[in-house]
Amino acid sequence: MSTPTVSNSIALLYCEHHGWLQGWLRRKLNCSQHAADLAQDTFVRLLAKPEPQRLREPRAYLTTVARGLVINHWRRQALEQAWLDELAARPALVEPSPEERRLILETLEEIARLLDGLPPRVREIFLRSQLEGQTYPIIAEQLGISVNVVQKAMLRAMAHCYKAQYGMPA
Amino acid sequence: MTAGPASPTIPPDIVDAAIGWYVRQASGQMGSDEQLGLSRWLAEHPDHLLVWQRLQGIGQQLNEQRSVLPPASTRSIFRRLPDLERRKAVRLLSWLLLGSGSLYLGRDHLKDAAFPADVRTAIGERREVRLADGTLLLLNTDSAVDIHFDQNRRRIRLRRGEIQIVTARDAADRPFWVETRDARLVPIGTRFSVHQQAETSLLAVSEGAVEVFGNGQPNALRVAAGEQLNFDGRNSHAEPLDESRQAWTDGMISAEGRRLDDLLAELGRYRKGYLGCTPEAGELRITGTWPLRGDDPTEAVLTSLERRLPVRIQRLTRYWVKVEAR
Repeated sequence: MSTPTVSNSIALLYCEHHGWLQGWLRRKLNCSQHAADLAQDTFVRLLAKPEPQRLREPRAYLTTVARGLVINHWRRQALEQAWLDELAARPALVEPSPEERRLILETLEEIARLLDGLPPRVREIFLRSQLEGQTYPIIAEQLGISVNVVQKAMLRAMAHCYKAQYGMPA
Repeated sequence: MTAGPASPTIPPDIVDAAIGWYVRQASGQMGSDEQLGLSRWLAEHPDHLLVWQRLQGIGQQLNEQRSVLPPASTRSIFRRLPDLERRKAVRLLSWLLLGSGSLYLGRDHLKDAAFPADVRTAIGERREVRLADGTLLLLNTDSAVDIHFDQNRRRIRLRRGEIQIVTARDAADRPFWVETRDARLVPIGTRFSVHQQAETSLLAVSEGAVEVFGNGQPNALRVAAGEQLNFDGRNSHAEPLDESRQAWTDGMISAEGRRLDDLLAELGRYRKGYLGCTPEAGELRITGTWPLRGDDPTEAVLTSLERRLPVRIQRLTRYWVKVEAR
């Protein structure tokens, strides 16, 4: 829970910088609707932080948080586009309802967050193994690489996912 | 669940070791000596088990997507995706199913390395389990199996419901079979599913072949890929495989010119209570595919039926639903 002083300081931050932040986001996104949403989200994030420090450079701090949200936003758009392309390429898939659409995108986003930062080849190997249950010899054969390379990619991918999820001791 | 102070930090060498085991196990090439090594390692220290369960949870989290999209589609979506911008220390705010669900899977996993294990699903639930030899076992709604793996054999007993099995080649070359109420099924390098219904069982073979040893039958029947077999203890009837009946393995329910009463019978397996229809409504035919995901996926299917067919859904309570002709 935030103490009254904390919400007060955020209220102050909001009054002084909200308009500026929204402008910054509008320039990044080229869309005032999304900019307004993300500016709002940025302050919601601040409220959720356990112990906000006394901010020496509030705008730098705000843009750091907002930049993360912008990346999420772009990723969601990229995922949506990739998924629509896939839908168009496979007429057998059902046309989803808005609710299903939301679920599908949320699920894809969760996977994307987990795999964020892995090279495409490692991602491909990892998904073949973990989603489709392909054995390493099959993956190796289909990608034209050695089983050893597959195994190394899997080690890297699992370590990456573990770190994304639980952090790694120094 | 967040990766906050509540989750204990595990020494990096233990994390590394666990990842090594996990990656070996996912290879599909793990030998019986290695399986034994894994069981021993897990039993050595509670931290080993904890980190193992976390890794299982990550795998399980990925598998959640199976219920919204076919895995091949997900993979192809990620192939279409441009390289995502790299970010430092991604904090995940919420991870569903990383709590009790993964714990359960972890335990199953432990057990089937050396001991019999029970795996079951509730109504409306589906679960995937990767067995110690690499075999994939998928349980549909309201199903239960015992897994008996030992040094000489791999045996699965279907107690209730429906399962799909994708066999893996066993490094130790142990024989593999599935026991059901009506027959013993011996797969030959294969993907197949079996559904134990009230009177009969339905075996559907998608890849490879399955030999069926009916109870009290002297000769085995061979069911090849692209065929399905309806059988009980005495009689059997082969026909071409109805692919749409296998849609559940991708988290879907599917129909192709199917009678409504037949579709409702399948749909009813995913929800509690009574779901029926009048005889006139039952004769209507429908084609479509619907996802089985969310809290109450069958409601969405019923709504869709009402939109597409001349029917009305009559609800007495949440647990008593009848479809009538309009």
